[in-house]
Amino acid sequence: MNTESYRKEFEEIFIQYFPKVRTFAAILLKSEQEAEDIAQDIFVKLWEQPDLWEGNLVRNYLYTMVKNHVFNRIKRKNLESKYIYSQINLHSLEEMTEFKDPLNEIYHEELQLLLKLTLEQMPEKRRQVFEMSRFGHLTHHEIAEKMDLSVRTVEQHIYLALKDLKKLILILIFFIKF
Amino acid sequence: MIDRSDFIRRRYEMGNYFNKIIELFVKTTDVSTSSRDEFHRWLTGEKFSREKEKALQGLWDNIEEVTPAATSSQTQRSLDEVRKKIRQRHHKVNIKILRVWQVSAAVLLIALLSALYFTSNETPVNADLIEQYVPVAEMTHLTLPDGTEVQMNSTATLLYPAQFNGETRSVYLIGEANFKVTKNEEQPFIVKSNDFQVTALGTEFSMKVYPDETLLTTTLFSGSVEVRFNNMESSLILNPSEQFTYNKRTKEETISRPNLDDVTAWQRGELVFRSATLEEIIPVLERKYPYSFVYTVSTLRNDRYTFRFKENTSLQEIMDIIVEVSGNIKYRIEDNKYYLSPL
Repeated sequence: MNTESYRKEFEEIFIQYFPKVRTFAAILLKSEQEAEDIAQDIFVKLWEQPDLWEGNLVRNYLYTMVKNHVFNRIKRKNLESKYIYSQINLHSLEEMTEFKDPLNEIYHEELQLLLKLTLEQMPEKRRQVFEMSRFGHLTHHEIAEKMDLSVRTVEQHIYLALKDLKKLILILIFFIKF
Repeated sequence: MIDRSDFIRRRYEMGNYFNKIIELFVKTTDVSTSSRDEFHRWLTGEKFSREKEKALQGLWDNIEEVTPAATSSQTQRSLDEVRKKIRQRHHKVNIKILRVWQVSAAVLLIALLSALYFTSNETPVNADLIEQYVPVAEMTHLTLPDGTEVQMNSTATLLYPAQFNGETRSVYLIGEANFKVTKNEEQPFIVKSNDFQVTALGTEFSMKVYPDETLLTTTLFSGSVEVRFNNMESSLILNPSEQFTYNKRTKEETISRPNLDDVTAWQRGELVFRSATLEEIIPVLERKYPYSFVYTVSTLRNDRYTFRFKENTSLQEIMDIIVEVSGNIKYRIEDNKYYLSPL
């Protein structure tokens, strides 16, 4: 392969896959800059590996590369920051959602994370109210005072938060069991 | 700002806990640091790693590829930067910056290529190959489908099929691992690597084939193994307690009788160096600890050291001792990097 066609072929692969690699890294790391760095590094390396520039092979290769880069970044970061354990325990989760299932024990970590991420999807106020109620164990009255809301609004927030959570659980039950 | 969720088709939503978690995480654009860290810990955690892997592959498959017509100016800018980096790479000689991921990248590349190559001779290419990768600073123990026990050292990669169907039980290794092979004389167990392969019937041996090291070794503890090297043209049989060393640069092989305690030290978390230069020691430290080293080659003399560090010795303790013993270097730590400089 001459230099010109070598370069051309590389660029075609770059254009086709670079955004995919960058997007995958960005989705998982939630950092555009880190994703860009990783994607660039991977393609700099790929330049020297023309044996891999073939459709399926390059796709699999890029997946493995980007996944390992992302994992390595995460592992390094995790070692830096101290582990803060989630305060949500399984019992309170079951209570909140009225979702009892023998599988809960097994998927404990997964359920916690799902709950946490679902809470993040909620409007800020709703989440705050809900957390004060279920994790801070404040009464509706206390929350109303703290947040400068009416008790009725607090109750409404909690009702809506629970609805969101139950919807999530329903989806899970449905797709796991049927 | 591109809305990432656009890339993910609806089909992906139908799934289980693992898909659901990833989907929720993708959807949350301004995730809190604590949720992000927790997600990251979960994602890279060992539990359910196969299910998570499946979910991740689903995510990957659902990110669209780009047709040349749709190339964005952002991609064009990235391409320019990558071109620049490619040019620079060919000039950099003096400063050797070792980054662990670069090594692992090279490792995986070879693994992938070779795995496809090796398996294509025996089984269809898309037979389920499982990849076990051990991150920096960790060790893993696993049992293969035939009951063979494998202990893997940091940054090692093992590729093996979901089932051993063929005439042989072939796996592919990069890095260091110890194998306790389940006896089955009908179906020899073969560990392949880039430069040599080891065939065993029922035995225990270890193998060290890191791509960033010149010397590759395999050590037999019991039974017997056949080693094939030099493009499969040469072979020899090892006796128990013998170590086969292959120099991939000079293509020379030697057989020695090492201290077996040293060979298995890593499995107990110990670190043993026997008359090793700092240039040989540093890559080992970079695998065992989540730090990388930055130094100019001239900083490291060719002095040889013998060290034995107990389990759980911190890298800082090790470096303090090395600095003390060598007497001609000092270090400072910054951003997970050890900078070495002459004293």
